[in-house]
Amino acid sequence: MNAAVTGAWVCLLAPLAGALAITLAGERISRRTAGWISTLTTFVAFAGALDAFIRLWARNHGDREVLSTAYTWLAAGDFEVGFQILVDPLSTVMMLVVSGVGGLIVWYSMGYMAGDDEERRYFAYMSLFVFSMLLLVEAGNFLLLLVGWGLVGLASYLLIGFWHERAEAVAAAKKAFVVNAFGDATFALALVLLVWETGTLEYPSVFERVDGLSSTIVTLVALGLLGGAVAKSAQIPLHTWLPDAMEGPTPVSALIHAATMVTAGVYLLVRTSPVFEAAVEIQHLAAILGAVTLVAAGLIALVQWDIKRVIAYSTMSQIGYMFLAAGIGAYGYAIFHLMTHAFFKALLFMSAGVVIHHLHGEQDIRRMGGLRAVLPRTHVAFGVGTLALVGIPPLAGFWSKDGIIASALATGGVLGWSLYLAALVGALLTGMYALRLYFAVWQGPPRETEDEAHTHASGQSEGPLSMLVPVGVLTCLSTIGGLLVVPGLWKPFEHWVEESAEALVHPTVAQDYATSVVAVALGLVGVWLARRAFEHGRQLVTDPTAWRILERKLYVDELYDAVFYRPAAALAVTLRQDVEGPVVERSLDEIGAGTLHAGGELSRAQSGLLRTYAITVAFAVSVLVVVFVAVR
Amino acid sequence: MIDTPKVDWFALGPTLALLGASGVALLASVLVPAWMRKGVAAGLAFLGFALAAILGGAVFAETASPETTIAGSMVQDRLGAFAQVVVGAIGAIVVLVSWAEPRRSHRGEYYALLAAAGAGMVFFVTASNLMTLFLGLEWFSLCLYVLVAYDTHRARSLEAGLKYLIVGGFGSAILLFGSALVYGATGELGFAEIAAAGAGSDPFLVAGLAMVLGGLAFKVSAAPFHMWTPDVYQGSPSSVTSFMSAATKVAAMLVLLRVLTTAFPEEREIWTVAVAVLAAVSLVWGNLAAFAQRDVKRLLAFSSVSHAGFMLVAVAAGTEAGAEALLYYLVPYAAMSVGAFAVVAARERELGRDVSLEDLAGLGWERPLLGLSLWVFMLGFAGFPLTGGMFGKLFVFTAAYEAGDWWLVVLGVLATAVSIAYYLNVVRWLYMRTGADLGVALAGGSPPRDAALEVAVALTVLVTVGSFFAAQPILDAAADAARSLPF
Repeated sequence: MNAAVTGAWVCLLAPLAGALAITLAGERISRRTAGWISTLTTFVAFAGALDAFIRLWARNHGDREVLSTAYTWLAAGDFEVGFQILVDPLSTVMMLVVSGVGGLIVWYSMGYMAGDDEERRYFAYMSLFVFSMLLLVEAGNFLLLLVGWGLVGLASYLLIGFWHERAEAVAAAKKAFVVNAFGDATFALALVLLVWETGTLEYPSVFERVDGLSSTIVTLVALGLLGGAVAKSAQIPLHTWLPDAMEGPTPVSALIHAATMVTAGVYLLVRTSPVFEAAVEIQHLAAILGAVTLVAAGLIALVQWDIKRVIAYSTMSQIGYMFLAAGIGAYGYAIFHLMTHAFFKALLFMSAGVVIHHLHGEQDIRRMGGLRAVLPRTHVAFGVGTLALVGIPPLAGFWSKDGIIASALATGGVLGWSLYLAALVGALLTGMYALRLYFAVWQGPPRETEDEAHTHASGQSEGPLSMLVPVGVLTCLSTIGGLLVVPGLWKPFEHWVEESAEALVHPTVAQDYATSVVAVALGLVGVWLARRAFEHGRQLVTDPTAWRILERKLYVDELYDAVFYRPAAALAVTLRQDVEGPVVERSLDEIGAGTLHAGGELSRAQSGLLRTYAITVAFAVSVLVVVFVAVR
Repeated sequence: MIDTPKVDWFALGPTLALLGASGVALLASVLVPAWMRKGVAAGLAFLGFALAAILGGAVFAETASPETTIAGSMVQDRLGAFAQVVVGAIGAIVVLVSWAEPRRSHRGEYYALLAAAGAGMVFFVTASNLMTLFLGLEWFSLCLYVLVAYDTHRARSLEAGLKYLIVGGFGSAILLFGSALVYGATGELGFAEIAAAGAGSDPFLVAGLAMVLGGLAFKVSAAPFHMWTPDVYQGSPSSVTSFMSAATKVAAMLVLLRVLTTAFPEEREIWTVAVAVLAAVSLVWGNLAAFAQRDVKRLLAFSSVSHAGFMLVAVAAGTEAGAEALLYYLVPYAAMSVGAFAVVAARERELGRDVSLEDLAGLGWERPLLGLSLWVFMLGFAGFPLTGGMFGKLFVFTAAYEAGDWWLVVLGVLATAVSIAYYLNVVRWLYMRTGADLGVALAGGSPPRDAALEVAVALTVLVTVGSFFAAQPILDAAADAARSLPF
């Protein structure tokens, strides 16, 4: 086997082995062992990814795309599908991010979840989740991509609903799954079209043949793929599941938001960029959806009270930036922001986790405050994460976000300028909501109760080492991780990714720095607004009507509820009550009672039911006969 | 001296093997000492099914082109042989599933009946005229009526048997009446002869076709002819349910395909639309109703209705690609169906009562093999990749798309998306807290490991996953089998 791909295979299979080992071992291993199996296999995956990355780097420029097929299992003429992975610059970056950040999160969960009744189940799911995401990014053809895509949805469903005794968690898991299933369906339809029209599912052959397709077909395929990406990445209008998904344990939120799942949509847009470039309107649609999402999510984040929900909306907003970048063809920056975002978002979630852990599950920021003195180290970590999110130089978020905004400027035209403005508004909003959260949690007078203060006195307030070390590592990464791209100086990261997806726009150095000045200034204005509001003890949104609209998340949930959910629920209830109930269950009860009596009773109870069945059959046959004779 | 038709013993091999096994098992359950009756009868039935599968394989290998035998009453072709292999394999696995069924009496006769039902099915799939079609149908149905009601101590089993008998009799009557109309219109019984008679659009012929279609739709439990399915699947002993849901479906589906394509090629335009409508109704009804279920066997029953819908989508294509897709679909479906009911059977034996979703709680941790397997089956039903269910759906949709039934593709994809929700609900329950936490009381403690059932489940998992990775050989065989139909 080619040396470059061995590591990639190890990277893919190690988490799967972990998940299987934990599941098959059942209760024979201790909870702690399960945690270690999960953590170590994920780090083994990271080592594999690193190995693949280094070996790929050693290769010549232009020769960095290795397709490795373990097994071909279907060959019908030209149509071949195999278990194959693609190791190229794009997939190695994703492998490193997923396994690296994922490993840190799994490690962190060992401390966070300690004492939960079902740790083994938790770690089995986590490993499955990491495996699914790795399969998604390493897949060498659309079929495996769909496999990973489906498995990610499945794993997220299992993890969001992990605390299944909480009704909200179960509802949230279902919602996430249903919304994602919609995306999966459009994705699957796009694949069926692709198979049918191009006769192949391998990336290179599909991309070669895309140009030969009619524009209607390409548009439909791109639309189907975009549907899948929008659902998985929680972009408007399929975003409603993401905030609710906060019902899962905090490390799960970190995993979903930082390393896996929501980034899958961005990866898909970049990976299938030739399809989108052939259907430019759809690509622009992706950029527009991203722009709308980044502003709307930033606004909604201003009025949230739940610490995790604020961060959740900030994820939506940041993914919006990535969609925007991918939609205008700034692929390098899309993936770059994906990576830096993975660092600081995981960091934010993990430090929020420390806070929640410390406050025994309290998530409402109105009951927080003044934690700076109590959790000094976490305070630093959260602060770094916040500033990186706002995009203050030289932290990670600055380099990647400004690259995206500058690319919008470089695109020009009505579209480019609108996107540019939206992105700048987003930068202002980011400063506002991020600092509102920071001030509410860390500054001001302490609002701890006696009980909590007591816990604090016993030491151990910032959690065990397994929680602190990952937070520390991510703090460093969020600080320096952005230096891989410094406009005018060097852009190794961008060049690396662009070997897989050639960018359509290249902002000039002047555009880059001009944008930086404006964006950082706006970010600082946001910070200042948040600080002033905090000092005056008021909220950033003061108009009650606006507050209500934002609090109801722009009424999208209510809209879906009225259009889709209620009719479907009504139908299900009708089926159950009016068809299942009287026809089946009641008669079954009667029969149950009837058996206690004589056989004659039984046959009488039976007859009513059977008559219904027989009449249905007779009616259906009559319809068939009449129709057949009529249309013959 | 009466002229007797030439009998092709080779083509009859699979049927005779099972018939022989059934007869000897019946004798054994009277003659051998009581303590070894079950063992002998089960062993014989297992051998019978295995032999039927092997002989079916031999027929498949030896038969390049279809030939009718025994005075045109049955056909020896690869389509029938394919079905015989699948039914034989299903039967052998069901014998393993049945092994530990708690049963106080008539243990030997159970296996004799099972083998006799299998014999009827492998005969049924080779039918090439309306007479043998009806004979085969009644042959295996009569055995199933008894098997469904076999748990005489359970009211639900008795009730299911009675219901199946009466509604099934009704279905058979429709089929028989339809056959009579077709015979009246054409004066022929053989499928090929009916097609050749060229009765055109004789009202009696199409009315007969409608009724034959209705009768067979009843056996494949396509909506709205499925009403008996949930009651009967729930009431029957779980091992019988696993046999019915897989073997009956395979046999009836293939015969439906054979009758429609060989006897009524002229009326293709009518029946493709009718089958497409039945498919659509089954998809919608099966999936929606499955949502409302609490009882796992009922849920699986409605899932089986919706799968009948998917299979009918392939039939409705009315093309060789459709036939191929259907044949492929049946393999993973049969494995998943047997396996899923086997896992339910295991839980049922543990608890001593019907299994609701809540009763599955903790199974995944208490019995990792069964839990993981049920997980695989549910994902397979939902058409997840890494299981053959995914390719099955892909092939079916491709065939429908090629045939121009794009609306069925859209409906099918939507139905799949919806079905994921209730299949995953089962998975979710599996990995809930342990049963002890939820107060799921075991009847008399945890029973000992049931090795036979675990082997059976492992085999079905192997087929479910294997049909994904080894899709090619199965697809090749399906293509060979599909070629024996006149398209």
